[in-house]
Amino acid sequence: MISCVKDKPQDIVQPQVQLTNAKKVYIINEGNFGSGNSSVSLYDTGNDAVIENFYQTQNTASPTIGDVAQSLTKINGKFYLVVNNSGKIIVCDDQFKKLSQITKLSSPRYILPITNQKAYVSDYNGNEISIIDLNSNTKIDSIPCPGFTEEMALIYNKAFVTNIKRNYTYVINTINNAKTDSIDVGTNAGSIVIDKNDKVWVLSGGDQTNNIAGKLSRINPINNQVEVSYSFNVTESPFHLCLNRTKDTLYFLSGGIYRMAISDNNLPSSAFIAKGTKTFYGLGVNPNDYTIYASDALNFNQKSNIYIYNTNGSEKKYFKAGIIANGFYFE
Amino acid sequence: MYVFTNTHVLAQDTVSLQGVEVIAKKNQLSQIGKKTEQIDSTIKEQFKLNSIADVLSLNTPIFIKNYGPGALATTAFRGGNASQTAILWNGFNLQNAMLGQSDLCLIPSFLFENIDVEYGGSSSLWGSGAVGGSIRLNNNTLFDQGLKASSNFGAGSFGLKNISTNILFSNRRFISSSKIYDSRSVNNFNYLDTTDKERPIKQQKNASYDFLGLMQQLKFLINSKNILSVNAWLNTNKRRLPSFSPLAESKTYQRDDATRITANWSFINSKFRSGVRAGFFEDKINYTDSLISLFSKSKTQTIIAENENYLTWRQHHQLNFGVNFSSSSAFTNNYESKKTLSRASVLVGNKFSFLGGKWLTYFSARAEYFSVGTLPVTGNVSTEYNLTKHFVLMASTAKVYRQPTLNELYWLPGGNINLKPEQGYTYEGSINYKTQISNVSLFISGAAYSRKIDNWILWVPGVNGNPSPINVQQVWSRGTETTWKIHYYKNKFSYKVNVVTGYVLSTVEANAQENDNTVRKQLIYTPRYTVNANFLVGYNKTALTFFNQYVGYRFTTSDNSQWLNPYQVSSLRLNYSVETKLADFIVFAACNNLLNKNYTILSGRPMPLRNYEFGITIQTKNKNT
Repeated sequence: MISCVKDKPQDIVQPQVQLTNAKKVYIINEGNFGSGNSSVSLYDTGNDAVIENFYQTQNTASPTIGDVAQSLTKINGKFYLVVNNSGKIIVCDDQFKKLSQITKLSSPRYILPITNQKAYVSDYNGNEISIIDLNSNTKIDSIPCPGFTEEMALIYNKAFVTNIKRNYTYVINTINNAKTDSIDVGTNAGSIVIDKNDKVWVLSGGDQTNNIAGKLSRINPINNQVEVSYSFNVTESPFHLCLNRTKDTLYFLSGGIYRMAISDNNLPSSAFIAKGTKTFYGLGVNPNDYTIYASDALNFNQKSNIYIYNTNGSEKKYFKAGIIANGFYFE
Repeated sequence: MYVFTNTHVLAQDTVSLQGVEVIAKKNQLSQIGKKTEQIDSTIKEQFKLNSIADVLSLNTPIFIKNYGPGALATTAFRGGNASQTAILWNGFNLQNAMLGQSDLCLIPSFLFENIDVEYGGSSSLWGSGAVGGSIRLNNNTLFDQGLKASSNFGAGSFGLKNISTNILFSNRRFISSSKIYDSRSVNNFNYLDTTDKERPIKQQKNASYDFLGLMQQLKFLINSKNILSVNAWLNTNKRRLPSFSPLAESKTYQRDDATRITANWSFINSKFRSGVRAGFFEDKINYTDSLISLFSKSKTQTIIAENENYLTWRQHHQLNFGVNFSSSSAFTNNYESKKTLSRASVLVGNKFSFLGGKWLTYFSARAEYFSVGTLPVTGNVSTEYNLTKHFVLMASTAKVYRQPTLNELYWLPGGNINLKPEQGYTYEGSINYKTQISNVSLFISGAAYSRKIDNWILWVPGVNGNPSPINVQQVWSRGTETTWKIHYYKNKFSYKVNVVTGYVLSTVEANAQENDNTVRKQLIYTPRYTVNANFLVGYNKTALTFFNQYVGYRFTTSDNSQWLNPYQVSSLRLNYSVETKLADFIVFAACNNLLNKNYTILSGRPMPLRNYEFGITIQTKNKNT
């Protein structure tokens, strides 16, 4: 019943992986809040190889990312890894070797390139959008923006900024960095995409505590008006809106994985991929082959499962990534 | 030598009434067949300005999950989590009804005359939460002690300041005990950050605290058969919580206020004892983080009323029976509205003794009504046998449970009203050996246990990524504990060696999630190996103790893919007594983390390098000396 177990755990040996020239998928793993165990995993679509701690293997001298990696964006051939609870953005070359880091940020969430020289960074509690000079990779200015700003989208010299804590998506004139408008999309809105017709879609999760239903809104970016809005049941809290390659099909999470065509007149009545016992947390659609990537964060405290689904919903593959995988960057 | 020799008989009579309050009876029944240990009084004296978290951490196999000095400290006892340990103040469970746990850092050890650790579950006697074990904090003030007063003044590294005072007045009919305390610290401490090779010495800031409290007890011996007592413990505890990124600014403040008032009436005669007890407990937690505009207030109020009776109905049989009612209400913006959980239970048990008292057996059963869902009928069967005058064999089995907390049921979003209680069976056996060879006393104890808990509650991401608690796992905890005590006394000298070891395997046996990788893995923050050793040299009332603690690997992820390395820390504590005609003075000093080790108990929460405490106690002369 009580046989002694050797206390020292076995060191986890990273398998030697031969990468192909095929497109790579990078998985952003938040890690546990306060534990500083964020990671970036790499999946090679050519041979299905996985490197769980890719950042670590490319930066052996200083392998720690920090606390809560939130998002990954490639700008001007460099990777920008936003590390939320460490208040920084790590800038890496295309081989993921660290070049520099952007500091003086409060709790950054996402980075949106505006021009080759300039990017915006949203923030959890800074009540501002930071402006980054992409040549020097420093913060040069900020735009006051109350609330918890999240994903952003750029079209017609306008940045549309979602907000978790306010009911509005803010519109920023990217020429003079001035806030010009706010659009009522409902509370807890964190994801935004632009479809093939240049329409902006914002998904708000609602607020179960105060009995407020989530909404999916379609915005005309020319006049900043909500053209169509679909309401969810108050018991649902949809999140993680994504688009497919041809930008005509929306995907989101609400327990299971849901999808709808941008031309549909109703929200989908049932999940496209059922939740089962999984706890889907991250979602992405590979623009190269239409496959759907979803992460299952399980109990938030172990390596995530990454599921790849074919467009018909059948499971293609599953593999392990880091702790609390929240999203994907597709090459 | 008694001063009042002419009232010797009466004194005997009142002295014999010490510890006869009904709760003492329950403590005795609960520990039949189970390993139970009391913190050594000399050791306890050396921790009089520390919290019970420090006492338990260095003197028992209980792993204390401590976020740092002055910060949250909870238990991992026999592989259970914080809400699976009962923290009993004179028999009343102090666990916050919303959180299902108590912060041991906010419980100063000097408030209690006895600190006992009862290993193993006893839900049938103590109700929900007594799964891994119970920590019993008892006030055992004595009648007929006269007037005694003592004050402690302490200071230490990082701006630590401590003041506490204890005034006891007792005559043959009445006791008043007043204790007040204030413990505060700026708490900016240096630690080593091994990941930063350029600037490894860093300072933890924003962790100051100020803990203030008052405990008042009144006890009346109404007549030779009736005792009435009233206890009140009020405290207010303010602290800042540092950011997880040590260099980041933090504007997080937490204030914990508690009001605890209890009243006890005990009736005692030779065949029958009966007690009626009532308690009111209010916990307020005010948490603010102005950086993220989070202002959270919560309040829980618990009312407990119970009656317990002990009847010696045949020469070797003692029957006990009782009823208990408790109701906990919570007020917080995070619930839809005020929520209340009520419980009513009946308890019956019987103690048998055979072979002239050498063999004791006890069984009990408890049935409960619960306002939300059902609670299991629990029970226990325990036995202990004095094999020789040196050996005692003990065995116990019990059905144990923990009811879901208010937060688990009602938190918005995520609360799950359909949660079932965590429940299971626990089995244990232990053997004690004690002997006295001239000036050497030897005590060795070994225990082994096994406990499987079903419906283990875990918060996992819900439909929208918001965590929600579900009954997801089965957990099997098993292990061994040993205690070794060698004490040598000669003239006024004493030498004591105490060693306690703990070995815990606490693994997930089943998990309902697909492709989950936690099965057969050790629970997080549950070290498999702990060893605490101390060596005390005493002369008269002066004592120097060396403490050494080893804590093995702690996994930080539930698939055991990440862990923290073991740590070993040492400390020294000295008490030096000077007696004068007017008063006694005790100078005390401590050096913590003697070897300046860099360690963390929990991930990302640094612990201080070498640090010091010192102070003085002034106490009035004991009337009997």
